[in-house]
Amino acid sequence: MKKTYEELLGPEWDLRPVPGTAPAKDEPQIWDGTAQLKHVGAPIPRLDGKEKVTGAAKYTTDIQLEGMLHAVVIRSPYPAGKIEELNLQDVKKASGVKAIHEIVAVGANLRYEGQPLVAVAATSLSRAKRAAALAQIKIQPTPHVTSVDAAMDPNGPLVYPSAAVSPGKGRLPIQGNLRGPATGGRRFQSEGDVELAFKEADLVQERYFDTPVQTHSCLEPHGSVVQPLDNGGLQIWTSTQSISSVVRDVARAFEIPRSKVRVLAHFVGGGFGAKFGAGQHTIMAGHLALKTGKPVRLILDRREEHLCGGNRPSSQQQVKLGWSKEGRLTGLSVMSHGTAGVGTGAGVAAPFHMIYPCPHRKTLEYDVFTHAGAAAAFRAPGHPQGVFALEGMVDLAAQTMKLDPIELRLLNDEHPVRREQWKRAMTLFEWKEKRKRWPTREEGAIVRGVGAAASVWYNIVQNRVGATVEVYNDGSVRVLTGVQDIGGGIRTVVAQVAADALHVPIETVRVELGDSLLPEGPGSGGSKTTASLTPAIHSAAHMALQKLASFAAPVLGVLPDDIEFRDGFVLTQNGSTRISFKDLCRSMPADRVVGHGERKEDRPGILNSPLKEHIQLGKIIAGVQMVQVAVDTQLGIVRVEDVLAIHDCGRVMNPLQAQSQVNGGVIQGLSYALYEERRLDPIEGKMLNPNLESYRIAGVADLPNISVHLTNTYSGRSSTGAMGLGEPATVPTAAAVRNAIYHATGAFMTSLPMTPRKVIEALHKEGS
Amino acid sequence: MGDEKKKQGFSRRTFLKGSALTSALGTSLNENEAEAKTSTPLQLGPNDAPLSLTVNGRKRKLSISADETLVEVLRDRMGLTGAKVGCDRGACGACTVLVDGLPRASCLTLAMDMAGHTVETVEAIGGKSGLSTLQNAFIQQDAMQCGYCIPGFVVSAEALIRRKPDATRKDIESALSGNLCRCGSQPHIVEAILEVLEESGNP
Repeated sequence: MKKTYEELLGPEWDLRPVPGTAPAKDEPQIWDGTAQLKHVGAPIPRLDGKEKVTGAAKYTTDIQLEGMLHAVVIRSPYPAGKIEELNLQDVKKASGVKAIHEIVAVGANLRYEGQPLVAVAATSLSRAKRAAALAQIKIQPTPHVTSVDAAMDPNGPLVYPSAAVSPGKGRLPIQGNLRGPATGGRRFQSEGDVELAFKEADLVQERYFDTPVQTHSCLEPHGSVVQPLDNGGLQIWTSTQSISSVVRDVARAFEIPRSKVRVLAHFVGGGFGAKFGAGQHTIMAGHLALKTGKPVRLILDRREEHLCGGNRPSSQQQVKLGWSKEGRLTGLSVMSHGTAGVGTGAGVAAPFHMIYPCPHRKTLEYDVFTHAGAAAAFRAPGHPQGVFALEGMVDLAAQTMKLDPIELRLLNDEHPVRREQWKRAMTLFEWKEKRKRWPTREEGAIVRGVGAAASVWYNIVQNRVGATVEVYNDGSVRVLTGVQDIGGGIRTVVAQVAADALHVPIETVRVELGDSLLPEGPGSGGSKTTASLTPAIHSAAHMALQKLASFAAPVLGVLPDDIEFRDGFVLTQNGSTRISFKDLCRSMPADRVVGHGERKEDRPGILNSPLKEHIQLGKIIAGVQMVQVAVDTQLGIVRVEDVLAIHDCGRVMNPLQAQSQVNGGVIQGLSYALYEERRLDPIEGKMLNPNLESYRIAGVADLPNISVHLTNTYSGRSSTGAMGLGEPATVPTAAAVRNAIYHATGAFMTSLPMTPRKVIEALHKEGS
Repeated sequence: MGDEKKKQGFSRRTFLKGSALTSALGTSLNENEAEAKTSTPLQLGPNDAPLSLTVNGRKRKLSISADETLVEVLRDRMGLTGAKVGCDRGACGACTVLVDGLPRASCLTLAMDMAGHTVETVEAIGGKSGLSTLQNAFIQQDAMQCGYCIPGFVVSAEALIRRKPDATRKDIESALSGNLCRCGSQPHIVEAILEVLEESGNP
């Protein structure tokens, strides 16, 4: 079966569209592997680069309006408690205070440190802070649980008094602080009989893994500036990954029509999953703005950002794998517990379903409520955690079976792209040589090793998002889309696509984005922005060209269908007559021609292939990473020296920006592997490191050499063939780092972050 | 780090909390100069007080509150929003500006202490032409993603190139270790700086 499939693959998996994918009249021809494109696929520098390097780029935090008030939030200092007194008289009387918005009332139960109690708006930030300090709020602390183990004690304190008020109720059973188990996801279900599989397996291995809570730590915190409008609506500047989700939440919260809510996000200082929806800060600012009739700005500070800006849940995973003596995975079971604080979403099982075929599989995922800020989606939710465990188990089995870890993967992995990526990686990284060369003690206490891990993510698409392309009568072009650019570079990619679809130079294309008045763009999450939006841009340009062709037809004396656009010219198909694109534009009856395009459902593409559904190219995104580490066996310090990252994102739209994004995924991944951990005081339950000096993230001196390779695959599923990259790039890094330490030292680490203390402990355990 | 010296002048922390904290987190200031300027303790506040300083080549006269930090004055009073507040305690470097040519965390600097000093922000790095060689290299190398930290990186890197045209990769790592980038653009940032150093004829 695989062979049939691979016959479809040319060099670089250049897929020709399979029969049945011819475009409809209002759809452009898909760009397959043979498409001749000038801008798409070229390393074009970011179009907003100048604004970013000169400080001219205006982020939400930079918005200043006439008469703007500044708001701060009084928050719970305790992880759990009950409000006994709430006296705000002195706050109201304080200098410069214009309004107060109470979020909680006397008697309210508090469930996490940082929970908002009261928002205060004043004429300056320092006045607001001084006023907030005058609040007389008496809170009776109540018993709290901040660790997963403590929260699972049936006699311990409950985060929610009953299942009826717990988040995620109704979908899964809730008992005490325990929610679950989930036995699969929307996409996957447990299957087969694992107990039988383990009984019949030739090798069964079981390990326990744990991973910490990681905070997003976007450099720009959550924040909004809310301005009341004369028509009763609200205009909002906000740092968001999804403009349309903010419109929705604000309209709902204030019961105003969505048509009267305008959301602006021209520049967004990072998101990584934490910035979906309006968020409490926007709603609080909205209340204060409506009370005062003035614009109100509310920006979280770094401490608030750590406490309530979202996080990646922790995980504790009991993982068991069974193997046949031929090296095939025959059984797999996972039980995971993790805490998303007062929220949900701590599951880790998806990669256990997605990477390797296995006839018997059972995954049980539990959320454990604790008294801590709610988690949010974080760059490939569940995946770095799950892959850290799964890909470790694969290396462990390879070691026992005396197989090369990649050879064992190739015996099991059926994804055609990942298989090819592994083969390329082995050559590029000189894998076999390095596995053989090391570990040897080279410089005293330093040992080196190499490790690898697989990446996996879904090809997610948001259908029906739209875009408008306007071609003006002077030949200039404007593209309108309500998408937000959170750093992935979609602004530039939109211009590249429009330029190639219209056959005009990119310099003539201007992109307007970051505004809810523009056609709805996709949310920037799930690694779907480029895959969702670029076909809509292509379609919009196609519609504009069709109109232009109808003007050109009489001029050239042919039918519109016989007209071609090429390199700034409009010509007849046989090439006998032509006029320049600019001259044609001059002859427009109006000042512009407008084309609108919408993201349609994916075409079947190569889904007609007979391969098992879950590994089909274009549906599951593949990647692999290889890592070289140096471990100081006396100090326990791990240094990541080299990383090879090979990823698939369908058609590579802009290799320069794609490389940036993979670098970012790798660096976040190694930061997660070695440094990051939200630490809560075991007694007080309060966060010990809500800042950026003791919550350590990787800096410039921690960087390895990162070599990025992208595998162009043309799946034919959309007219541009773009797929996601942001999340897959961070999925395997921590696992690969651990596997490299395993190779270097023989110590198999099961706990993140792999701090010097844990490394030394593991080495001692290995040595004893 | 001379706690004694710090106690004599004021830092934001001493002013706000009356206790001296070692502010080793930020980029270090020129100790001698700081001492010279602040050797006589001033009594300021609670009302606004006059301040004159030079920002981006222009002499400015302002009336500010004594507890305002330099980054607040730059951003809120002068509209120079290039310097960002990422952590407000000198740990992230997004607020980095040049004071008398040296990089400094403007969130840990009281504006009043800048009397008579020269401040340069990212807005002025490009000079009249709009973009410095370094800024242009940042764009060409795609040394940015979301861009929020980039003004701080540009300022720190520009200061390094000016004071050490023969800087090595190690020097770059050291000079930029006070700047955080969550998107992971550091590899391209280092490439951009190396490119500028190489093009100016230095290793």
